[in-house]
Amino acid sequence: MDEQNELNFQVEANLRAIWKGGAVVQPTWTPDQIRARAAAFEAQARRLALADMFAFILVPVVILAAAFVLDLPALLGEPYGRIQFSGAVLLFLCSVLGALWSRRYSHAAVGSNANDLLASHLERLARLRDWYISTPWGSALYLPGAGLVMIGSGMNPKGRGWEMPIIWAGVAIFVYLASCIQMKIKARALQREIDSLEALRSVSR
Amino acid sequence: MTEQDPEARKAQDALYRQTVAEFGRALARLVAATERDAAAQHDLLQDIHVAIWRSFAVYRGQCSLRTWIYRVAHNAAATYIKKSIRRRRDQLMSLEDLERVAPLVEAHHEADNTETLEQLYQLIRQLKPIDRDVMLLYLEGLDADGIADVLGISAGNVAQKIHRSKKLLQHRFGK
Repeated sequence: MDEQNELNFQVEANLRAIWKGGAVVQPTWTPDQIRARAAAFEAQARRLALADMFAFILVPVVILAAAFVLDLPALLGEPYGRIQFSGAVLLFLCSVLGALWSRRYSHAAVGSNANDLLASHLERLARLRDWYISTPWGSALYLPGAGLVMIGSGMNPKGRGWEMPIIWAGVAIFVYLASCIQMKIKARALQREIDSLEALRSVSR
Repeated sequence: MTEQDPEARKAQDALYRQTVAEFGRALARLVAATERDAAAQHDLLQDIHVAIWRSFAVYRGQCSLRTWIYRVAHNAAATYIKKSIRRRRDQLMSLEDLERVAPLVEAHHEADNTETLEQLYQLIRQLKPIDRDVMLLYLEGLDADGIADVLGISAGNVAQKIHRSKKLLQHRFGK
């Protein structure tokens, strides 16, 4: 047993010596270079946040643009047109909310990064879990607007009737429900990971 | 940028120089044990330096400089690992799983130090984040309390993981 302990100690000491004595590539940067890199990093983060915001706004802007192309005043004169327009306005408002939410989310992602490792890891996981939980609710906000656009389209006497709106509604509901289930499964898996990591905090031997 | 005051900026620069002098090699070892590719190592090391430099804007001596540096550096490495796993679909293992798996590269009796070091890096790269961090900090010479402080897990759990790390190292490099 003593011989075994002696061997363990030797292996340990030897490995530590190899670990610390090994050649490593160690480039050096001046504080000014690092400052410039940090500034570039922050500028990139701001650009990404802006791109996220534009992505959210783009869809309803296209919808509104399409409404103008389709002769908005004429559309507003008809009941179906007013319904479609209301739906487009609702979609626009939802995407503005989505943009604000995504902006808040990306701001929250930039932290000091100096919590203990487990806290930072748990924070990241919890943020991702919350995102999975809240996305189905956020997406549900788009449903009334999309529904109104489809109803208006179905009511349009010059259109193709109810066939296409019903098909699109079916596809939309299927995709929505499937993504809800997927998000729920992912959120549960993350919660399990969070619980197992939380357990590491407890004093157990 | 959050830091503009010249005095604070000077202090931040001085702290950064001190960090490079004291922990530069440890940071380079962390990077070598995280990423195999030399170009990616350079980028990761630079990212870690930037993260540390930025963190000094909020460092007020909440903990020792060593704990702070390791926390920020290991956080940056963990973020990098998470991204690269998504890209490469690597399969990481716990200390317990790795003990059961036969070594990928058989440790030679006469393996020279460079070879042993490379095998050590290879072993660490296969570990899951918390196990990897315990192993790295243990090799850097931190005790269970120091590691617990960096990682935020209980010293008891760290001691358990150190015990498993030692067993794994003994298993891989003991003969």
